[in-house]
Amino acid sequence: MNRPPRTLSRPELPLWLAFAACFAAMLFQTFRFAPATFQRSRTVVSNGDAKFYEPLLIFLSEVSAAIPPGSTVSLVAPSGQDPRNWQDYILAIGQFPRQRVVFAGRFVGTAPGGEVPRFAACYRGQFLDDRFRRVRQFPEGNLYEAAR
Amino acid sequence: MTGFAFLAAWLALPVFGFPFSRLAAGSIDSRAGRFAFAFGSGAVVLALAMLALTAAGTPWTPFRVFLAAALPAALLAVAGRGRARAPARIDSGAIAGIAAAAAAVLLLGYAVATARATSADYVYFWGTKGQEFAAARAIDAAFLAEIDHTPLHPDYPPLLPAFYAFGALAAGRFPWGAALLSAPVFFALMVAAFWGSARRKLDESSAALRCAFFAALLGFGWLASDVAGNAEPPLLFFEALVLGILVFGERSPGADFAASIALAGCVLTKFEGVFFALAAAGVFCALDPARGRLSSRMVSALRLLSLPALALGGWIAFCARHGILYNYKPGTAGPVTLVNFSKVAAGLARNTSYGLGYLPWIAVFVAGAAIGVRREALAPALVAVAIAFVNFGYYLHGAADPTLWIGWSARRIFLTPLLCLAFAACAGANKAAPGSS
Repeated sequence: MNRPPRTLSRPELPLWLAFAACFAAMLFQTFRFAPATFQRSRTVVSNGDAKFYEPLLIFLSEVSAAIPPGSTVSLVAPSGQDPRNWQDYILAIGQFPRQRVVFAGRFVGTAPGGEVPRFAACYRGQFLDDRFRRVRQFPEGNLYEAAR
Repeated sequence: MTGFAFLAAWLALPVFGFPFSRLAAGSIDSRAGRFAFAFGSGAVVLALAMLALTAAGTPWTPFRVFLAAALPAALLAVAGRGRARAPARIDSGAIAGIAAAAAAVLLLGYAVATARATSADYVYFWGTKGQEFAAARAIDAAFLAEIDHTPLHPDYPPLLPAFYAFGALAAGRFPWGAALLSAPVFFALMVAAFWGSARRKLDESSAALRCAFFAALLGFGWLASDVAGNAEPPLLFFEALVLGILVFGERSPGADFAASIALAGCVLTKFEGVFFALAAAGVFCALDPARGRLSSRMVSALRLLSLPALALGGWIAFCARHGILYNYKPGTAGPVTLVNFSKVAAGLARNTSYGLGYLPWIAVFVAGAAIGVRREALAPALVAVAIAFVNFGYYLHGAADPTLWIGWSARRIFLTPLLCLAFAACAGANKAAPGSS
């Protein structure tokens, strides 16, 4: 005996359409910033809305690998810019798991009396300060060490 | 290898929470849903165990944390008797809907794994805290109390950092890429929780189809809000557990305690979880006729709020003891003022469109209209309205221009009202009553 063909009940068709619309929106959102790939991304933000942080994260990981564990380090702004960038500072804390991060606003600019870290990492620019000398250059910035 | 060890550690969570899932057995009718509940209960127990070890001055090791978190489960397993009723087998009519829901889960997993939905807050403080706590082998109060670490929100609740730290303890370091996968894990568990509770009240194909819609709706919301690594994934998972039990579940003290465990998860995950807990307990107990007279509704509300109150009380006491209490202090956000009313309204109108012409809100109303509005929809819809009002009101605190703040957070925090409306839209019961033909 043949089963009767299954037809969509009253709520089913609109629900499937709503599902399709949302799923299409998911696809749109997924491929909005980058094409399909199965390669590992360079950073955890590389293909999304926060992609602007990718070069900074790469720079910080290079610096973290280049300086000794246990040392103090600060992410400083290029000379002439406001040193009190809280967002970049808290981002740096997580990227230096083996070092201690010092807030640049404590020893640069109007508050020069605070703790001076052993290293200063300057993203996209030069950090001109008599207390530091440049020890390394990276594509995304420079690394300075405090003069002893 | 580090990433695998990190992810494998999370498999301990259902072990910590397994005996509690018996409480939810009358409300969640699928193995996947009960696993989700066990995982959520385990996460709550884990966070409280890690907080207790810190308060006792005992440094975390994987063994000590495992022992502390497994203790309540072991005691309950010894004390408990009998087995929960086995869930019904999946009917073939549900296959299409389940496959569609699974497709949404896989797509979200792909998007997160390829770094397309990462929250900036993950690299600002959620991941950082997990990494720092694992290194300190404690909830590092000294780190949180440093004046320059105030932007890391020291008193934000500890569940997600503890969850990250537990994996990092097992793996030896914090793997930023692998930890991001917490988002698809919580998403899959959230969808499983919806399915498990919906199929108790709905027939198989309806439950599966509504589950597929639910997964695609929230999946888009998650991707459009860049929530990966942030605390929204666990928060929304816990909220879905609560709503699943309250909307579709049985009315019993055991079910109330099951919902209470999930509400404790909400308050231990995000500050906003407190408002959800109050709104959900208040609205459901006030409106649900099955809860009987006023006195029994009050008892029910007390049961629902008992565990979240204890859990949050423990966290607030810890913060107060270490001088890191900010957000939970009345008046911290500044006075409410209407000076920014138009900016808040405009900012919310812009951001809650989710960049696609309010698609999620339109979709949820289409689904609700198609299924048919029923009485069961009222309570989750009112919780959605309450949370939307709270969110709106929160942005009215202080005189500073809130435009950037709204752009930063509105999409994420309006996922809770969206989740509630999704439950409201899907709430209509259609399973034939026992004995009817």
